[in-house]
Amino acid sequence: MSAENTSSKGLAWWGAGGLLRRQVAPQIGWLLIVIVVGFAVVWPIVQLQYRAFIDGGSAFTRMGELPRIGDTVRTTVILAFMSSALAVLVGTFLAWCASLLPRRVQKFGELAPLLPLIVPAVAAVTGWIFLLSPKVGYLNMMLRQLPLLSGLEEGPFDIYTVKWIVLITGMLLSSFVYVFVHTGLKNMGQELEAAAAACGASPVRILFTVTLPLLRPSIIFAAGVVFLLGMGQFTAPLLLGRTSRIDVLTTEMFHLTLRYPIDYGLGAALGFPILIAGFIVVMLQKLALGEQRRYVVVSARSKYDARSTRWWAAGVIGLYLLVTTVLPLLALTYVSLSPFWSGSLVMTELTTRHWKSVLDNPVLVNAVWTSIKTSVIAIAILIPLGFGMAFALLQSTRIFKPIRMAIDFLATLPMAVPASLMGFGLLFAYTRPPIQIYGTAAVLVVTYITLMIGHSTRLQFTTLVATGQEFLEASKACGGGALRSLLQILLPLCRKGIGATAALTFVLLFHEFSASLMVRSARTQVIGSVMYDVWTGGVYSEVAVLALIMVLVTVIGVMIAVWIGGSESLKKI
Amino acid sequence: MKQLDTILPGLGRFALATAVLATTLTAAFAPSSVSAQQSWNNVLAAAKKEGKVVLYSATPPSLGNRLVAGFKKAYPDIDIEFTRGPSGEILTKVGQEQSGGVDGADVFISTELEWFRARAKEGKLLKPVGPEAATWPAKYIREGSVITAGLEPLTIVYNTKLIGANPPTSYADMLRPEYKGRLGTSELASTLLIAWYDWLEKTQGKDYLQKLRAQNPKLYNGTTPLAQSLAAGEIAVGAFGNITAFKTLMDQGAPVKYVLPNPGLGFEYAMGGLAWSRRPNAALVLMDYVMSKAGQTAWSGTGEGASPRTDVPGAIPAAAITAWDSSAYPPEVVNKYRAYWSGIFK
Amino acid sequence: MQELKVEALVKQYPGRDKVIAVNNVDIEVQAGEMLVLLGPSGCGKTTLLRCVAGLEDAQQGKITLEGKAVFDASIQFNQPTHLRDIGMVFQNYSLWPHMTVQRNVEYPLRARGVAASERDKRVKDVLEVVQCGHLTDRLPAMLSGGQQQRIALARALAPKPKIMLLDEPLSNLDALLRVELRAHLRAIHREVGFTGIYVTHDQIEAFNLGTRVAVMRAGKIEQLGTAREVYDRPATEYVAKFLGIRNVLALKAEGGWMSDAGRLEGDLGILSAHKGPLQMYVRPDAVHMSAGGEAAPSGGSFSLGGGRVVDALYSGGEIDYVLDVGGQTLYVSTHSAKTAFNPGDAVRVNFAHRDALIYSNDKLVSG
Repeated sequence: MSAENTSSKGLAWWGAGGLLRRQVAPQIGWLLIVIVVGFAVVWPIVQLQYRAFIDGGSAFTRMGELPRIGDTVRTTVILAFMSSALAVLVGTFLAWCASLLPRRVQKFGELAPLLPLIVPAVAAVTGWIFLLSPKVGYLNMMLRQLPLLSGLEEGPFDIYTVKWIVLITGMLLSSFVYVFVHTGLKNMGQELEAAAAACGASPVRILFTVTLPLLRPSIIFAAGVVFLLGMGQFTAPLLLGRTSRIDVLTTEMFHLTLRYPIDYGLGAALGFPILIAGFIVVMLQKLALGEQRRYVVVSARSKYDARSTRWWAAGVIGLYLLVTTVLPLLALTYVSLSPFWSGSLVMTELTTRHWKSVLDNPVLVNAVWTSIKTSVIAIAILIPLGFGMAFALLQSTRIFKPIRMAIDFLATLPMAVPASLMGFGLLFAYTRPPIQIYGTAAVLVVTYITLMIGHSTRLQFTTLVATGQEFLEASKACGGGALRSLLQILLPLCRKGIGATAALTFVLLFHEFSASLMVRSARTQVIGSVMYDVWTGGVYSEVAVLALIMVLVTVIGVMIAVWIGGSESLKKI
Repeated sequence: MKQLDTILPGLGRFALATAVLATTLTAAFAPSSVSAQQSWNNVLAAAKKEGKVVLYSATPPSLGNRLVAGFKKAYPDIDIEFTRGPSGEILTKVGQEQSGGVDGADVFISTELEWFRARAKEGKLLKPVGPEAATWPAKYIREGSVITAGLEPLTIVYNTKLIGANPPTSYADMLRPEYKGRLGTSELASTLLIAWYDWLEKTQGKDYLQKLRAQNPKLYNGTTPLAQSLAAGEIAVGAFGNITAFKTLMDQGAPVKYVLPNPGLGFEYAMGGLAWSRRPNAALVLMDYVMSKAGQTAWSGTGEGASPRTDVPGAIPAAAITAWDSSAYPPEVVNKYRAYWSGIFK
Repeated sequence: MQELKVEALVKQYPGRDKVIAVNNVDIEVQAGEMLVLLGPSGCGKTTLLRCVAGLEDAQQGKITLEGKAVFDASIQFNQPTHLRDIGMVFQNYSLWPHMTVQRNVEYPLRARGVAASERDKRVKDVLEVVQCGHLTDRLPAMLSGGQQQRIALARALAPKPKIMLLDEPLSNLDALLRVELRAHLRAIHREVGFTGIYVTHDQIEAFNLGTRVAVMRAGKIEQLGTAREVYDRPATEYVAKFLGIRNVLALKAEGGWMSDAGRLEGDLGILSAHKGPLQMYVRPDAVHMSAGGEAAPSGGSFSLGGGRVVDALYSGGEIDYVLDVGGQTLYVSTHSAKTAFNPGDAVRVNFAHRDALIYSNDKLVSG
């Protein structure tokens, strides 16, 4: 076959080694991905922001006229900074504690700080309301039993304050910081710390002189991620802020979607500062860490276990688990079994009727199924798409550079845009031609793909980098074609990483609340959005039931993903 | 598989359009007096063929569930899908469905009367043609197609465990010093709330809202979250409430009670069949059911509200309720008031 | 006939530096021959190998395998790796960790569509050849480094490829294992008779295994010849240095020949044809020492007087001397039995004409 090629005049276009198959076809394939993903990701944002700037920016004038807009912006900034600072502190401290865990509890103890991730933010916040409402929060009531506080009629804590929104958001975000910093610590190995210990440094001194400086890339990366999440934070301000007149930009945006006709220009104007801040954070991350470091690469862990261990570290992690997961879940369980949310702990009146009424309600059950189905469909598209994009990012020479840069950009952009803003943009884009899919389940699938394509790409990129190119080269050298290499070599090798990506994506999508609430229609609901509806128009016991169903389905989903991806994949998360 | 139906809504559209055309033609060409029953039978037959009706309603879940159960019993051949939400929220969704050509609500019930009137003037609401419409009091059919399906008085509510003797009976009582910090009220979740705050100022004095604000009330997104907090004891008194929202909790044994203040304000639930509906006949049938004696008994026979009909046992008489005048609150006024209210309360 | 022919190959990496990793290289490999690419890291030897494998896209030139072009820049033709029918052994083995030894070795046979019965036989045979017949059901993680590399070799050999490409296959092994496997590899090459290219930075490996050796420098072939030719007559100073010839005398014609180690004595007749500066390389084991008082030997040798023993390093059967000759350090390796000098002794060094590699303008002019 190749002999003809050499003998013919001109360029070799055809055949396996020809230009068409080798150069043109792949570029067209990648270009297609860039165009489709680019449309999904960029179009809504561009469309929306255009609305903010037409008519000489009158939308910004309207924004300036909003009551208390100054307070809203200030609250947004405070919330973003304080909660991400708290998350970084707590997450890093937890990771350090995890590194000090005694061997006997190490395995569970390292996973424990991830458990809050299985409790969706809506559920956690609801649980916290039951615990910390100033007068009837269970925790508050118990604290008031203490001799020092017995004189109080309410409190000592009031969850409906900026302080507590910051605290709760910070706690919710600290798990993410833990993931990155913990991985960083693991990769660092123990030799450097051991060396410092051999020089006579105490654990605390080691922490500040050796560990933290070395972890700087991980911490900077994590700080950027949680700052973006904190700025787009929506759940806690929405559920906690309203009762005491606390608004942030995202909740203002959400209020807009409740008024007909929706003032998209105003929403775009409200989202503009968030968008700009998002870009700045991503650029700073890029500058601070350099191209490579943005990707946290998992490598083999050290063979030696020369750590000095501390039992109090297990205590810290246990306390964290108790506070972030166990207590809210207990409160939810109790309320779900109570006839109504009451400020008393009377075990005699417990009932399962709210569980029955939720499970008998076709709207709610449908929403659960819609959530599962749309998440699973989205994941089925996201995994191969993200895998392809991650693969493209790894190809240094064979992909036309602008295409590779475009893919990199598309994998980064969704991370810079908070879900609530993205949801608002998607609502705008998909309620009108050319793609009018509002009101169908398709809009949820498209929304989920748009939100998660960045995560899917980044996580699988990490897997691919860790897997190494040489296994693929070995396959090619052994005569394996593209398909054989992919199916028999690359995919089996990446199975755990893909399983972990699928599990994490499922958790994030099933818990997705901010964007879902924006793009849902009355008849296409997901569990997060119906939960909000029950919240605003039903009995809180049913909210608790739904929250617990969310937790249960999450656990089952993660277990299935782990079963597919192998038990190691949980660690990869 | 159900996803596919919603993803590809256009599939059954042609068939539907034909059916609608057929019934409209039949109605138009038939001699009116003789065949009113005949043409209604045609509607019923077409509705059966449509097989389903979608109701969006701002009524509390319990009320909605009663209506749904009753309708299922009366028309077992027609499936009913019910979506509940706060008035403003579902109104936005309906508006988006209209502009986006999305298959959504067939019948819509909400307190946003003016929205219905505007749509009716545009000819975007179905004319109720069922037998019940013929006898419905004219006062409660506006623009020929906006039906007042029920009326409710606004109430003051309190927690019986926290407020023993001397419960509040009027809006003036909201300003009692002992209620400071223990009071709850609603945000401007719908136009009704705007009218109510406006009415409070007019009846209780110009500085009433300032004084109410000074009581440092907790704000809730509508009456349901307020009801939950009241039942839990987070607040002792709620200035804003409607009976249906509290009935659910009272049925569960929650320690809440309501009082009808005098003077007091009430509101109407407006109902309309949406002209862009994919199931117009089923919509007409559902509307007819809501207006029937059975429907109205399901609605207000529990004593939660009033019926325009006079033959509903257990209902509050409609005449006792002064409903707010929605026509006095067009969008410009609403937006202005929103800013004014936020200035005081936020 | 030649199995592989590389003509005027150029490979330049993109990026700011635009490193030219392979610069206009021509090589031919005959059937059954093992060509060793030898050079320090960064000289382009691995890139050249990867171009042959099709794992890198070159910019210019042509690569022909068994008479058929697999790469031809002039018509923009580049056959994908998996169609080239090659066998490749990687530095870090690259055995697929999720497959057993059996599955790893039969993979290339499956990829080529070899029938099951034939496949099993071939796997069995080739595992016998690498002495790993008992490991078929193991996973790579359960194997030692040496075993892994044998399996990797078996995997590459199994389909009887047109050419074997070995990329520093022994460099990750410890010293003893390396010696053992080197001998084994040599035996297999004899036995199977495959055609191969072998990349290494280790000259002993190169001379042991190579039918011919190509020394590479900055993307170019510096010298190509049999192991003997390259060893005995390093074509340039670069090759001489790379081969570890440590004694270097820079000679200037100043009424005779002066070096940093003093005036060159002995039989200088063969230098008379040269005028300009010369570089003379002498292997430590080619230098002989005599007591300081003795005269320079009369014929066929060069000599330097005025040396002094700085240090004597005993290493088993040999003694390595470090000398100071006129301020320059020279190295001598001798059998301990023959001579015995102590630090501080005055010595004279002598070396035969045939052991002196003389370069003029970086060209070997004698030796």
